[in-house]
Amino acid sequence: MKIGTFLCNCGGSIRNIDWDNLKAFIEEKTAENDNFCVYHESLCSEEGKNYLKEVVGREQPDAIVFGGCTPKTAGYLFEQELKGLNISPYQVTGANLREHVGWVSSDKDSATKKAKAVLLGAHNRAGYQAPVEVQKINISQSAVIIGAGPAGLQAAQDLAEKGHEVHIIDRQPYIGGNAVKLGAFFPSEDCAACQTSTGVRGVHQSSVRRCFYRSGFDLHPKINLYIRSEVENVTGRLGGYNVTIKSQPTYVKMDRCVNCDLCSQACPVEKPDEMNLGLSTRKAIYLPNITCSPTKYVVNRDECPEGCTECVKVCPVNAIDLNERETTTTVTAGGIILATGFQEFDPAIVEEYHYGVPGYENVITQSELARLLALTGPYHGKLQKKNGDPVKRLVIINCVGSRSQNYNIWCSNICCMIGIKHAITIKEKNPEIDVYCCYIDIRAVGANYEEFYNKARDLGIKFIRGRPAEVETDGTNLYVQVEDSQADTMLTLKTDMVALSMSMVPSSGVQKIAELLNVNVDVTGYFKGLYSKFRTSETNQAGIFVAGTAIAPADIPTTITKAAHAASHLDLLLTKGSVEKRFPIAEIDNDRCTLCEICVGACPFGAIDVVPVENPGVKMQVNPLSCLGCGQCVSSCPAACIDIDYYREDQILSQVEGLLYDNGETPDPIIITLACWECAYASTDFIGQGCLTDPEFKYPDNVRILPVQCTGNVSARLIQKTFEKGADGIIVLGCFEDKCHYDSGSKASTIRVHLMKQMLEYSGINPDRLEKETVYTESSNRFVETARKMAKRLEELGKLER
Amino acid sequence: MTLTTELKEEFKDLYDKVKLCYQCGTCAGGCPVFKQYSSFNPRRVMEKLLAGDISAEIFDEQQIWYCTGCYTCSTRCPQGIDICHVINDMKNIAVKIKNAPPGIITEMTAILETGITAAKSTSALRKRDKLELPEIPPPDMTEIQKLMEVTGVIAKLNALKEDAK
Repeated sequence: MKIGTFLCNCGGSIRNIDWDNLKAFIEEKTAENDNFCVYHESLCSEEGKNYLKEVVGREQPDAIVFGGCTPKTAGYLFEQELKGLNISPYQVTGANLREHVGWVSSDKDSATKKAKAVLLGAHNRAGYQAPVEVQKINISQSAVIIGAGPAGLQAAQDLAEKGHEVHIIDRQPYIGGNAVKLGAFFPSEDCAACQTSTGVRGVHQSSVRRCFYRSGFDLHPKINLYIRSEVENVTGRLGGYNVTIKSQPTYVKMDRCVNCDLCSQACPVEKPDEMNLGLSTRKAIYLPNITCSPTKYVVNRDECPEGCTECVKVCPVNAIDLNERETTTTVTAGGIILATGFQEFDPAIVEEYHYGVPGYENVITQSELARLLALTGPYHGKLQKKNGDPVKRLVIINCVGSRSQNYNIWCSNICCMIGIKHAITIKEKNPEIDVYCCYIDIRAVGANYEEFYNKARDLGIKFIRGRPAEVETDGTNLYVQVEDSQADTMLTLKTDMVALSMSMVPSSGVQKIAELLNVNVDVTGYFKGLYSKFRTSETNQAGIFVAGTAIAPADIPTTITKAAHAASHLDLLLTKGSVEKRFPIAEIDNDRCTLCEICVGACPFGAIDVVPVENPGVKMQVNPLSCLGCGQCVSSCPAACIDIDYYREDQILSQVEGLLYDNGETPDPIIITLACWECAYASTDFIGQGCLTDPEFKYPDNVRILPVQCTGNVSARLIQKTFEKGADGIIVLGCFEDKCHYDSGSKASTIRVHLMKQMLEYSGINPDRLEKETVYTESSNRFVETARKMAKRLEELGKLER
Repeated sequence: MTLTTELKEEFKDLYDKVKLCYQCGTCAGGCPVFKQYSSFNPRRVMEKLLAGDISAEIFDEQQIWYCTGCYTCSTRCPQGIDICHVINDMKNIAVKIKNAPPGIITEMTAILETGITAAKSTSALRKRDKLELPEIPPPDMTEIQKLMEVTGVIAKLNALKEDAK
């Protein structure tokens, strides 16, 4: 393999290094294979670029070593300039002679010495680098959306308008999710069941806002709606997910039903109405809600008396078929959006408020209050007790189940405002009703929310700062025990009704979908976004997005925004039509694999599939699109049969060998830093830069850094072999554990280093020779401190005896 | 008053136990004592601990000794703070810094001699009858005295008596 070495002095700014000496050294060391070495004052100048192209074109090296500035910047230069020169950017290995050597080292002598080692390390590594293939994978032009609440609907519409085929699935026989039940909505004070119209219904083709049932959503030519349906199974990967959808029949033909209600009147069955949370009754054949879409009747078949066909007999349009069967459909999708929403936390769990206990029928939840206040509700918007008496006083209790170490630690975000909305609705209709609101803190954080809160106080709603301890009853009235903590007094509020602002928890079924799709779930039970700052709508699985309250509690404006965000990201993927996978990915040597499947669990992105084969039954296979090349599988594999090109163990060790080069000149112990290519490596660059102006950043010259993809890639074996090669100390430098760019790599590495320290102790090696540190650029001084401490310790411990 | 290093450490422990408190008042709202005597407010006690108020005043009789140890607040605290336990710890510190109310000598003596702090009230006995609860057995004095001895309560009581003189 012919390797060309390009040295660059960065316009003369790396003064500390004796370049002639360095060039002579590398030429001597790597004299074989027609290797060559050239020096240029400034390779990124126009003149330098031409020189680079000219030399590469003439010499045709198989690999390039670049000694100069950090590969973080030089890498881009080479990628751009080497286009069309028959050498891929992966054939370029950087030797960071500026940020890691020239700018950090204290004098010319030690800088040159260190530069030799760093350059030799890079040269060794380059010798192992084979070309990396670019893979192209086609993406199917359709999307599956799970959940047809406000988030799902928004995402579906956005994608459909972009021209993608959309399959949207919901368990309920109608679209709209929880929003359908909410009635009025804050802060716009209009219907919750209102959104942008698709403009496909009727002659008014405009996209003004409309109720779900008038929006024409179910008529959109690109949208396929699956109501009363659930995801049965998912196979395949990004590009082509095969989603099997199981649909229960509604027993009423959508295209025939005219909503005449004759069937419902004829039906002999009476059941509590779920839409009104059991506060009223419905028949076995019923219209779920007059504002719902599709506005068609449905049958709960298991409630039908045996052999009863009363509804069929009276139907004037022959729309009912009680013999319909469940259907199973399989669709292919380029991507999936999870919009599974939320549900209310079970109020009975918070025992002191006695929800559901006999005698406490007028302790209700905000959802139930919303139904009571809704015109389509059981009492047509009239606020009354269960026995029909009017309500003269209402107490709202906030944070029930939220912000609690006992139940759910999170703030549910919207309950303050929902309570205020209900209080305002009541006060505006019936100013004589006394409304109290007991709160811990009022969180009015959205646009116009504080104004809304002010309005509530204007209307005379009484706010008490205190979380009630108990709700009691004397048989007719309810009594709320609360300390008014601003007045230091105990209050017993006699009231007719209590409304609990329940915590929002993930929908039931999230766990099942998470398992089917191999998507990560947070400790809270919600789906976990890929990162907390950006890419919030992506999951650990490429091509699977999450929208709305499936990530965290949110109000409707935020839900809609999140959904549009997820849809736009999925659209980017679908519009491209294909993705190119460029970065090296994990490769499994199936001959040596013992089928232990540890790697499958170690991969945070679910990129390793267990694929059936004839012999020996199964094999592990890496999905190239899901794999990000972090190497967590590599370090977890007990058979050492996984490797990542560019970060192969022999390749890294060859660089270690170079970095340890001292030619007897350095009696000092040498510390090898295995730095994660993300925040950690960037931090070391940052330190180099910082040294120019602030000597506080300087760390000892015997600390030498080489990149790994992620500290999750650093196996116990690699640590052991690095010691064997001659390292006297090792620092594993990763990103902060909760900010790992590969989800769990840094955390896994911390555990591994901890265990490895114990192993070292057993083998008689001082465990202080191994350290794990975490950094990001703003805290990069942590590395400087650790490096200094380690160097000081090794001064006492001396070189590692072998 | 100034506190010794050891007591400062104990205070630090108390602070760590209550630092999640967001002063919602659930403890006070449900406190049977606060209902009767507004001068004992468990939320206020937590507030003082949170503010790092380490004067001896915090151990005043009204502040903590009215707590009956019913654990209602501990059960209900949304932040999972064992308020009752924290107040108990404070009572122990109060004894250490000789700031305990004289009444506890009488109370401890009563337990040592009779095994109970208060005589059975007739109304309570009537209620038990109504609920068909069994009769309360007489306390096992040998066991109680043994327990008080091995846990060091008797030594503490003697010290308190000595101080009171």
